[in-house]
Amino acid sequence: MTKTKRWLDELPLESCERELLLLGKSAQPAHGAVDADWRALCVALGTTAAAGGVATSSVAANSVSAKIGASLAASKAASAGLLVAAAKSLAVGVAVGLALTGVGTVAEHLSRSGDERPAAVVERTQAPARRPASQQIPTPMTAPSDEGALPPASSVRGEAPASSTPRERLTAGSSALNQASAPTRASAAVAVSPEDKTASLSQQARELAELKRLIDGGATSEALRRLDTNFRAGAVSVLSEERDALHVQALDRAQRRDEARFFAQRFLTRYPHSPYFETMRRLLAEK
Amino acid sequence: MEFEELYRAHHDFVWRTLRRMGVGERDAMDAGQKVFLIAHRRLAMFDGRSTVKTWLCGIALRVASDYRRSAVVRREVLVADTPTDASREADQLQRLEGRERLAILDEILSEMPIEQRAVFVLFELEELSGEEIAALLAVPEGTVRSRLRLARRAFSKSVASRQHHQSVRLAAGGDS
Repeated sequence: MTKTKRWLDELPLESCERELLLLGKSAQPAHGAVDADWRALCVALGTTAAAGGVATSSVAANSVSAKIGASLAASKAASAGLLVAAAKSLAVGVAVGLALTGVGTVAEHLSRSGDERPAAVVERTQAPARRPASQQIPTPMTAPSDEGALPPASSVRGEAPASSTPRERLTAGSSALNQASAPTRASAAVAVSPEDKTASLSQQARELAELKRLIDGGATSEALRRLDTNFRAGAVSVLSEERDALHVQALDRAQRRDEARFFAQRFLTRYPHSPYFETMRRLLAEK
Repeated sequence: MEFEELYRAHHDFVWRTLRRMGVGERDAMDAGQKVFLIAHRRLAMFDGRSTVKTWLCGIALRVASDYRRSAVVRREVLVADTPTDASREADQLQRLEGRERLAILDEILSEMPIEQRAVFVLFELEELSGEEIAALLAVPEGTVRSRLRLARRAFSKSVASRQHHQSVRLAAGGDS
Protein backbone atom coordinates (compact mmCIF):
# COMPACT_ATOMS: atom_id res chain seq x y z
CA MET A 1 0.00 0.00 0.00
CA THR A 2 2.90 2.29 0.59
CA LYS A 3 3.47 2.25 -3.15
CA THR A 4 0.00 3.49 -3.88
CA LYS A 5 0.24 7.09 -4.90
CA ARG A 6 -2.14 9.72 -3.74
CA TRP A 7 -4.63 10.43 -6.42
CA LEU A 8 -3.75 14.09 -6.28
CA ASP A 9 -0.29 13.26 -7.55
CA GLU A 10 -1.73 11.56 -10.60
CA LEU A 11 -4.73 13.66 -11.54
CA PRO A 12 -4.37 16.26 -14.28
CA LEU A 13 -4.00 19.75 -12.92
CA GLU A 14 -7.21 20.94 -14.48
CA SER A 15 -9.38 18.04 -13.48
CA CYS A 16 -12.50 18.57 -11.50
CA GLU A 17 -11.62 15.64 -9.27
CA ARG A 18 -8.41 17.34 -8.28
CA GLU A 19 -10.20 20.55 -7.48
CA LEU A 20 -12.72 18.79 -5.30
CA LEU A 21 -10.03 16.83 -3.50
CA LEU A 22 -8.04 19.95 -2.76
CA LEU A 23 -11.15 21.56 -1.46
CA GLY A 24 -11.88 18.62 0.78
CA LYS A 25 -8.35 18.54 2.12
CA SER A 26 -8.34 22.19 3.03
CA ALA A 27 -11.81 22.38 4.51
CA GLN A 28 -11.90 23.83 7.98
CA PRO A 29 -14.58 24.53 10.52
CA ALA A 30 -15.85 28.05 10.90
CA HIS A 31 -13.51 30.59 12.40
CA GLY A 32 -13.56 30.40 16.17
CA ALA A 33 -15.09 26.96 16.20
CA VAL A 34 -12.04 25.40 17.80
CA ASP A 35 -12.23 27.64 20.85
CA ALA A 36 -15.99 27.41 21.06
CA ASP A 37 -15.86 23.66 20.85
CA TRP A 38 -13.14 23.50 23.46
CA ARG A 39 -15.20 25.54 25.90
CA ALA A 40 -18.17 23.29 25.29
CA LEU A 41 -15.96 20.27 25.74
CA CYS A 42 -14.65 21.57 29.05
CA VAL A 43 -18.18 22.00 30.27
CA ALA A 44 -19.00 18.47 29.20
CA LEU A 45 -15.85 17.11 30.80
CA GLY A 46 -16.68 18.95 33.97
CA THR A 47 -19.92 17.11 34.20
CA THR A 48 -18.73 13.74 33.08
CA ALA A 49 -15.28 13.63 34.60
CA ALA A 50 -16.44 14.95 37.96
CA ALA A 51 -13.62 16.21 40.13
CA GLY A 52 -10.94 15.01 37.78
CA GLY A 53 -12.16 17.14 34.94
CA VAL A 54 -9.63 18.38 32.50
CA ALA A 55 -6.88 17.83 35.00
CA THR A 56 -7.53 14.14 34.74
CA SER A 57 -7.40 14.35 31.03
CA SER A 58 -4.12 16.14 31.23
CA VAL A 59 -2.64 13.41 33.31
CA ALA A 60 -4.04 10.79 31.03
CA ALA A 61 -2.69 12.63 28.03
CA ASN A 62 0.73 12.50 29.57
CA SER A 63 0.26 8.80 29.53
CA VAL A 64 -0.46 9.06 25.82
CA SER A 65 2.79 10.86 25.26
CA ALA A 66 4.62 8.18 27.09
CA LYS A 67 2.87 5.55 25.06
CA ILE A 68 3.70 7.24 21.83
CA GLY A 69 7.32 7.28 22.76
CA ALA A 70 7.22 3.76 23.93
CA SER A 71 5.16 2.34 21.12
CA LEU A 72 8.08 0.74 19.39
CA ALA A 73 9.22 -0.90 22.56
CA ALA A 74 5.75 -2.09 23.42
CA SER A 75 5.80 -5.06 21.12
CA LYS A 76 8.90 -6.33 22.84
CA ALA A 77 7.72 -5.70 26.34
CA ALA A 78 6.00 -9.05 26.52
CA SER A 79 9.37 -10.69 26.78
CA ALA A 80 10.58 -8.38 29.49
CA GLY A 81 12.09 -10.99 31.71
CA LEU A 82 11.62 -14.04 33.78
CA LEU A 83 9.50 -12.24 36.31
CA VAL A 84 6.88 -11.36 33.76
CA ALA A 85 7.15 -14.70 32.05
CA ALA A 86 6.65 -16.51 35.29
CA ALA A 87 3.77 -14.32 36.28
CA LYS A 88 2.25 -14.73 32.87
CA SER A 89 2.38 -18.46 33.19
CA LEU A 90 0.68 -18.11 36.49
CA ALA A 91 -1.95 -15.91 34.93
CA VAL A 92 -2.72 -18.45 32.26
CA GLY A 93 -2.89 -21.05 34.93
CA VAL A 94 -5.28 -18.91 36.87
CA ALA A 95 -7.41 -18.41 33.80
CA VAL A 96 -7.55 -22.10 33.12
CA GLY A 97 -8.30 -22.61 36.76
CA LEU A 98 -11.15 -20.21 36.53
CA ALA A 99 -12.59 -22.02 33.62
CA LEU A 100 -12.32 -25.39 35.26
CA THR A 101 -13.06 -24.79 38.87
CA GLY A 102 -15.02 -21.62 39.02
CA VAL A 103 -14.15 -18.09 39.69
CA GLY A 104 -14.87 -17.93 43.36
CA THR A 105 -12.83 -20.96 44.23
CA VAL A 106 -9.73 -19.74 42.46
CA ALA A 107 -10.03 -16.28 43.90
CA GLU A 108 -10.29 -17.69 47.36
CA HIS A 109 -7.35 -19.97 46.74
CA LEU A 110 -5.25 -17.09 45.53
CA SER A 111 -6.27 -14.86 48.37
CA ARG A 112 -4.99 -17.42 50.82
CA SER A 113 -1.70 -17.84 49.05
CA GLY A 114 -0.23 -14.56 50.20
CA ASP A 115 -0.77 -11.39 52.17
CA GLU A 116 -3.34 -9.17 50.66
CA ARG A 117 -2.44 -5.57 50.22
CA PRO A 118 -4.82 -2.87 51.32
CA ALA A 119 -6.89 -1.66 48.42
CA ALA A 120 -4.95 1.52 48.01
CA VAL A 121 -6.09 2.08 44.48
CA VAL A 122 -9.06 -0.11 44.03
CA GLU A 123 -11.87 -0.85 46.32
CA ARG A 124 -12.23 -4.52 45.87
CA THR A 125 -15.46 -6.20 45.26
CA GLN A 126 -16.62 -9.51 46.53
CA ALA A 127 -15.76 -12.57 44.57
CA PRO A 128 -18.84 -14.07 43.03
CA ALA A 129 -20.36 -17.09 44.63
CA ARG A 130 -20.88 -18.84 41.37
CA ARG A 131 -20.27 -18.45 37.68
CA PRO A 132 -23.11 -18.47 35.19
CA ALA A 133 -22.93 -21.40 32.89
CA SER A 134 -23.40 -19.56 29.64
CA GLN A 135 -20.18 -18.33 28.12
CA GLN A 136 -19.20 -17.40 24.65
CA ILE A 137 -15.61 -16.64 25.37
CA PRO A 138 -13.42 -18.72 27.64
CA THR A 139 -13.14 -17.11 31.00
CA PRO A 140 -10.56 -14.39 30.71
CA MET A 141 -9.48 -12.39 33.67
CA THR A 142 -8.89 -8.78 34.30
CA ALA A 143 -7.90 -6.39 36.98
CA PRO A 144 -10.63 -3.83 36.91
CA SER A 145 -11.08 -1.24 39.51
CA ASP A 146 -14.13 0.31 41.00
CA GLU A 147 -14.41 3.69 39.42
CA GLY A 148 -15.87 5.22 42.50
CA ALA A 149 -12.85 4.21 44.50
CA LEU A 150 -10.31 5.30 41.97
CA PRO A 151 -7.82 7.72 43.46
CA PRO A 152 -6.73 10.85 41.69
CA ALA A 153 -5.01 9.82 38.51
CA SER A 154 -1.90 11.64 39.61
CA SER A 155 -1.37 9.12 42.34
CA VAL A 156 -1.36 6.36 39.81
CA ARG A 157 0.74 8.20 37.33
CA GLY A 158 3.22 8.97 40.03
CA GLU A 159 4.04 5.32 40.07
CA ALA A 160 4.48 5.01 36.35
CA PRO A 161 6.17 8.14 35.09
CA ALA A 162 5.41 9.30 31.62
CA SER A 163 8.94 8.51 30.65
CA SER A 164 8.77 4.94 31.78
CA THR A 165 8.76 2.32 29.10
CA PRO A 166 6.32 -0.57 29.02
CA ARG A 167 9.20 -2.76 30.06
CA GLU A 168 9.80 -0.64 33.13
CA ARG A 169 6.16 -0.59 33.94
CA LEU A 170 5.95 -4.31 33.62
CA THR A 171 8.93 -4.98 35.78
CA ALA A 172 8.06 -2.28 38.23
CA GLY A 173 5.26 -4.30 39.65
CA SER A 174 2.75 -6.84 38.67
CA SER A 175 -0.07 -4.35 38.74
CA ALA A 176 -1.08 -0.81 39.33
CA LEU A 177 -2.31 -1.92 42.69
CA ASN A 178 1.19 -2.64 43.82
CA GLN A 179 2.45 0.48 42.20
CA ALA A 180 0.09 2.66 44.15
CA SER A 181 1.17 1.28 47.45
CA ALA A 182 4.88 1.51 46.72
CA PRO A 183 5.47 4.95 45.29
CA THR A 184 9.07 4.62 44.21
CA ARG A 185 8.94 1.14 42.85
CA ALA A 186 8.11 1.86 39.27
CA SER A 187 10.75 4.46 38.69
CA ALA A 188 13.42 2.29 40.20
CA ALA A 189 12.24 -0.80 38.34
CA VAL A 190 12.90 -2.82 41.42
CA ALA A 191 11.76 -6.41 41.50
CA VAL A 192 8.60 -6.93 43.50
CA SER A 193 8.66 -9.31 46.37
CA PRO A 194 6.95 -12.65 45.87
CA GLU A 195 4.45 -11.74 48.57
CA ASP A 196 3.49 -8.57 46.75
CA LYS A 197 3.12 -10.41 43.49
CA THR A 198 0.93 -13.05 44.96
CA ALA A 199 -1.19 -10.55 46.83
CA SER A 200 -1.60 -8.49 43.71
CA LEU A 201 -2.50 -11.48 41.62
CA SER A 202 -5.00 -12.65 44.14
CA GLN A 203 -6.59 -9.25 44.22
CA GLN A 204 -6.65 -9.07 40.47
CA ALA A 205 -8.12 -12.53 40.27
CA ARG A 206 -11.00 -11.49 42.48
CA GLU A 207 -11.55 -8.40 40.41
CA LEU A 208 -11.43 -10.41 37.25
CA ALA A 209 -13.94 -12.76 38.70
CA GLU A 210 -16.22 -9.88 39.56
CA LEU A 211 -15.86 -8.48 36.09
CA LYS A 212 -16.65 -11.83 34.56
CA ARG A 213 -19.69 -12.12 36.77
CA LEU A 214 -20.88 -8.71 35.61
CA ILE A 215 -20.50 -9.64 31.97
CA ASP A 216 -22.19 -12.99 32.38
CA GLY A 217 -24.94 -11.28 34.29
CA GLY A 218 -25.51 -8.83 31.49
CA ALA A 219 -24.12 -5.81 33.33
CA THR A 220 -21.83 -5.00 30.43
CA SER A 221 -22.01 -1.25 30.96
CA GLU A 222 -20.70 -1.59 34.47
CA ALA A 223 -18.06 -4.03 33.30
CA LEU A 224 -16.92 -1.67 30.58
CA ARG A 225 -16.89 1.20 33.03
CA ARG A 226 -14.57 -0.71 35.29
CA LEU A 227 -12.40 -1.73 32.40
CA ASP A 228 -12.22 1.89 31.33
CA THR A 229 -11.09 2.83 34.78
CA ASN A 230 -8.49 0.16 34.68
CA PHE A 231 -7.22 1.29 31.31
CA ARG A 232 -7.30 4.90 32.35
CA ALA A 233 -5.19 4.14 35.37
CA GLY A 234 -2.61 2.79 32.99
CA ALA A 235 -2.56 -0.45 34.88
CA VAL A 236 -0.08 -2.83 33.35
CA SER A 237 -0.68 -6.27 34.62
CA VAL A 238 0.50 -9.75 33.94
CA LEU A 239 -3.18 -10.42 33.50
CA SER A 240 -3.51 -7.87 30.72
CA GLU A 241 -4.20 -10.62 28.22
CA GLU A 242 -7.16 -11.85 30.20
CA ARG A 243 -8.31 -8.32 30.84
CA ASP A 244 -8.17 -7.49 27.15
CA ALA A 245 -10.07 -10.64 26.26
CA LEU A 246 -12.75 -9.70 28.74
CA HIS A 247 -12.87 -6.26 27.24
CA VAL A 248 -13.63 -7.72 23.82
CA GLN A 249 -16.23 -9.98 25.34
CA ALA A 250 -17.90 -7.09 27.13
CA LEU A 251 -18.01 -5.01 23.97
CA ASP A 252 -19.43 -7.92 22.04
CA ARG A 253 -22.11 -8.56 24.62
CA ALA A 254 -22.92 -4.86 24.67
CA GLN A 255 -23.57 -5.08 20.92
CA ARG A 256 -20.71 -2.67 20.29
CA ARG A 257 -19.57 -4.91 17.50
CA ASP A 258 -17.30 -2.52 15.68
CA GLU A 259 -15.29 -1.83 18.78
CA ALA A 260 -15.30 -5.49 19.70
CA ARG A 261 -13.93 -6.35 16.30
CA PHE A 262 -11.33 -3.62 16.50
CA PHE A 263 -10.04 -4.78 19.84
CA ALA A 264 -10.29 -8.40 18.82
CA GLN A 265 -8.07 -7.60 15.88
CA ARG A 266 -5.63 -5.86 18.15
CA PHE A 267 -5.78 -8.75 20.55
CA LEU A 268 -4.71 -11.14 17.80
CA THR A 269 -1.76 -8.94 17.00
CA ARG A 270 -0.76 -8.52 20.57
CA TYR A 271 -1.29 -12.05 21.81
CA PRO A 272 -0.71 -14.39 18.87
CA HIS A 273 -0.27 -17.37 21.17
CA SER A 274 -3.18 -16.66 23.43
CA PRO A 275 -5.64 -19.40 24.36
CA TYR A 276 -8.31 -16.90 23.31
CA PHE A 277 -6.83 -16.56 19.84
CA GLU A 278 -9.39 -18.78 18.15
CA THR A 279 -12.22 -17.13 20.01
CA MET A 280 -11.12 -13.77 18.71
CA ARG A 281 -10.77 -15.13 15.22
CA ARG A 282 -14.29 -16.50 15.35
CA LEU A 283 -15.61 -13.18 16.55
CA LEU A 284 -13.88 -11.43 13.67
CA ALA A 285 -15.25 -13.95 11.23
CA GLU A 286 -18.79 -13.21 12.29
CA LYS A 287 -20.70 -10.70 10.29
CA MET B 1 1.00 16.41 25.84
CA GLU B 2 -1.94 18.09 27.50
CA PHE B 3 -5.38 17.04 26.45
CA GLU B 4 -6.03 20.53 25.19
CA GLU B 5 -2.94 20.28 23.03
CA LEU B 6 -4.16 16.98 21.65
CA TYR B 7 -7.56 18.53 21.05
CA ARG B 8 -6.26 21.58 19.25
CA ALA B 9 -3.82 19.59 17.17
CA HIS B 10 -6.52 17.28 15.87
CA HIS B 11 -9.72 19.28 16.02
CA ASP B 12 -9.82 20.20 12.35
CA PHE B 13 -8.89 16.69 11.29
CA VAL B 14 -11.68 15.21 13.37
CA TRP B 15 -14.13 17.79 12.09
CA ARG B 16 -13.20 17.11 8.46
CA THR B 17 -13.42 13.38 8.92
CA LEU B 18 -16.85 13.67 10.48
CA ARG B 19 -18.09 15.98 7.76
CA ARG B 20 -16.74 13.90 4.90
CA MET B 21 -18.13 10.76 6.51
CA GLY B 22 -21.61 12.17 6.41
CA VAL B 23 -22.15 14.21 9.56
CA GLY B 24 -24.18 17.27 8.72
CA GLU B 25 -22.67 20.69 9.20
CA ARG B 26 -25.04 21.61 11.97
CA ASP B 27 -24.25 18.41 13.85
CA ALA B 28 -20.50 18.39 13.34
CA MET B 29 -19.76 20.33 16.49
CA ASP B 30 -21.73 17.95 18.68
CA ALA B 31 -20.24 14.95 16.96
CA GLY B 32 -16.74 16.37 17.34
CA GLN B 33 -17.33 16.93 20.99
CA LYS B 34 -18.48 13.36 21.32
CA VAL B 35 -15.28 12.16 19.68
CA PHE B 36 -13.11 14.05 22.14
CA LEU B 37 -15.24 13.03 25.09
CA ILE B 38 -14.73 9.41 24.13
CA ALA B 39 -11.04 10.06 23.56
CA HIS B 40 -10.78 11.63 26.98
CA ARG B 41 -12.51 8.69 28.56
CA ARG B 42 -10.39 6.12 26.77
CA LEU B 43 -7.09 7.86 26.71
CA ALA B 44 -5.42 5.23 28.80
CA MET B 45 -6.47 2.59 26.31
CA PHE B 46 -4.35 4.20 23.67
CA ASP B 47 -1.33 1.96 23.50
CA GLY B 48 0.92 3.89 21.16
CA ARG B 49 0.86 1.25 18.45
CA SER B 50 -0.86 3.69 16.17
CA THR B 51 -0.65 7.43 15.94
CA VAL B 52 -2.99 9.57 17.99
CA LYS B 53 -4.44 10.75 14.71
CA THR B 54 -5.29 7.23 13.65
CA TRP B 55 -6.74 6.46 17.05
CA LEU B 56 -8.93 9.55 16.97
CA CYS B 57 -9.90 8.67 13.45
CA GLY B 58 -11.24 5.33 14.60
CA ILE B 59 -13.40 7.06 17.17
CA ALA B 60 -14.58 9.61 14.62
CA LEU B 61 -15.56 6.87 12.17
CA ARG B 62 -17.67 5.21 14.80
CA VAL B 63 -19.32 8.44 15.85
CA ALA B 64 -20.05 9.21 12.21
CA SER B 65 -21.45 5.73 11.77
CA ASP B 66 -23.75 6.20 14.74
CA TYR B 67 -24.78 9.54 13.34
CA ARG B 68 -25.67 8.10 9.97
CA ARG B 69 -27.70 5.37 11.62
CA SER B 70 -29.61 7.81 13.74
CA ALA B 71 -30.01 10.09 10.76
CA VAL B 72 -32.20 7.51 9.06
CA VAL B 73 -35.11 8.73 11.13
CA ARG B 74 -34.48 12.31 10.13
CA ARG B 75 -33.49 11.69 6.61
CA GLU B 76 -35.09 14.86 5.45
CA VAL B 77 -32.46 16.86 7.31
CA LEU B 78 -29.62 15.11 5.55
CA VAL B 79 -31.27 15.38 2.20
CA ALA B 80 -31.77 19.07 2.81
CA ASP B 81 -28.04 19.41 3.33
CA THR B 82 -27.22 18.22 -0.14
CA PRO B 83 -28.61 19.14 -3.50
CA THR B 84 -30.71 16.61 -5.34
CA ASP B 85 -32.02 18.51 -8.26
CA ALA B 86 -29.94 17.90 -11.38
CA SER B 87 -30.23 21.45 -12.55
CA ARG B 88 -28.98 22.69 -9.23
CA GLU B 89 -26.13 20.24 -9.37
CA ALA B 90 -25.15 21.65 -12.72
CA ASP B 91 -25.27 25.16 -11.36
CA GLN B 92 -23.12 24.20 -8.46
CA LEU B 93 -20.56 22.56 -10.66
CA GLN B 94 -20.56 25.62 -12.86
CA ARG B 95 -19.98 28.06 -10.09
CA LEU B 96 -17.69 25.86 -8.09
CA GLU B 97 -17.64 28.09 -5.11
CA GLY B 98 -16.88 27.35 -1.49
CA ARG B 99 -19.64 25.62 0.35
CA GLU B 100 -21.45 24.53 -2.72
CA ARG B 101 -18.41 22.75 -4.03
CA LEU B 102 -18.02 21.08 -0.70
CA ALA B 103 -21.65 20.07 -0.89
CA ILE B 104 -20.91 18.47 -4.23
CA LEU B 105 -17.94 16.68 -2.77
CA ASP B 106 -20.09 15.40 0.07
CA GLU B 107 -22.77 14.30 -2.31
CA ILE B 108 -20.32 12.38 -4.42
CA LEU B 109 -18.90 10.77 -1.30
CA SER B 110 -22.37 9.93 -0.05
CA GLU B 111 -23.02 7.94 -3.20
CA MET B 112 -20.17 5.58 -2.42
CA PRO B 113 -20.57 2.46 -0.33
CA ILE B 114 -19.49 3.41 3.14
CA GLU B 115 -16.48 1.10 3.11
CA GLN B 116 -15.11 2.74 -0.02
CA ARG B 117 -15.96 6.16 1.27
CA ALA B 118 -13.98 5.62 4.46
CA VAL B 119 -10.91 4.44 2.59
CA PHE B 120 -11.15 7.25 0.09
CA VAL B 121 -11.55 9.97 2.72
CA LEU B 122 -8.77 8.66 4.91
CA PHE B 123 -6.29 8.02 2.12
CA GLU B 124 -6.94 10.83 -0.30
CA LEU B 125 -8.09 13.61 1.97
CA GLU B 126 -6.47 12.88 5.30
CA GLU B 127 -3.40 11.16 3.89
CA LEU B 128 -3.36 8.21 6.23
CA SER B 129 -1.21 5.39 4.97
CA GLY B 130 -2.67 2.22 3.60
CA GLU B 131 -1.23 0.34 6.53
CA GLU B 132 -2.88 2.66 9.01
CA ILE B 133 -6.21 2.40 7.25
CA ALA B 134 -5.98 -1.37 7.12
CA ALA B 135 -5.33 -1.51 10.85
CA LEU B 136 -8.07 0.98 11.55
CA LEU B 137 -10.69 -0.85 9.55
CA ALA B 138 -9.37 -4.29 10.46
CA VAL B 139 -9.05 -5.33 6.83
CA PRO B 140 -6.08 -6.47 4.77
CA GLU B 141 -4.13 -3.85 2.89
CA GLY B 142 -5.17 -5.48 -0.35
CA THR B 143 -8.76 -4.74 0.56
CA VAL B 144 -7.85 -1.14 1.21
CA ARG B 145 -6.27 -0.96 -2.22
CA SER B 146 -9.26 -2.45 -3.99
CA ARG B 147 -11.71 -0.21 -2.12
CA LEU B 148 -9.62 2.77 -3.02
CA ARG B 149 -9.57 1.78 -6.66
CA LEU B 150 -13.34 1.37 -6.72
CA ALA B 151 -13.86 4.61 -4.85
CA ARG B 152 -11.71 6.55 -7.30
CA ARG B 153 -13.61 5.03 -10.18
CA ALA B 154 -16.94 5.93 -8.60
CA PHE B 155 -15.72 9.42 -7.87
CA SER B 156 -14.66 10.02 -11.45
CA LYS B 157 -17.86 8.54 -12.77
CA SER B 158 -19.92 10.79 -10.56
CA VAL B 159 -17.96 13.86 -11.58
CA ALA B 160 -18.34 12.95 -15.25
CA SER B 161 -22.06 12.50 -14.77
CA ARG B 162 -22.36 15.93 -13.25
CA GLN B 163 -20.31 17.47 -16.01
CA HIS B 164 -22.58 15.81 -18.53
CA HIS B 165 -25.67 17.20 -16.79
CA GLN B 166 -24.05 20.58 -16.74
CA SER B 167 -23.22 20.54 -20.42
CA VAL B 168 -26.72 19.38 -21.29
CA ARG B 169 -28.21 22.15 -19.23
CA LEU B 170 -25.91 24.74 -20.74
CA ALA B 171 -26.76 23.49 -24.21
CA ALA B 172 -30.46 23.65 -23.42
CA GLY B 173 -30.03 27.17 -22.11
CA GLY B 174 -28.10 28.18 -25.20
CA ASP B 175 -30.81 26.88 -27.50
CA SER B 176 -33.55 28.73 -25.75
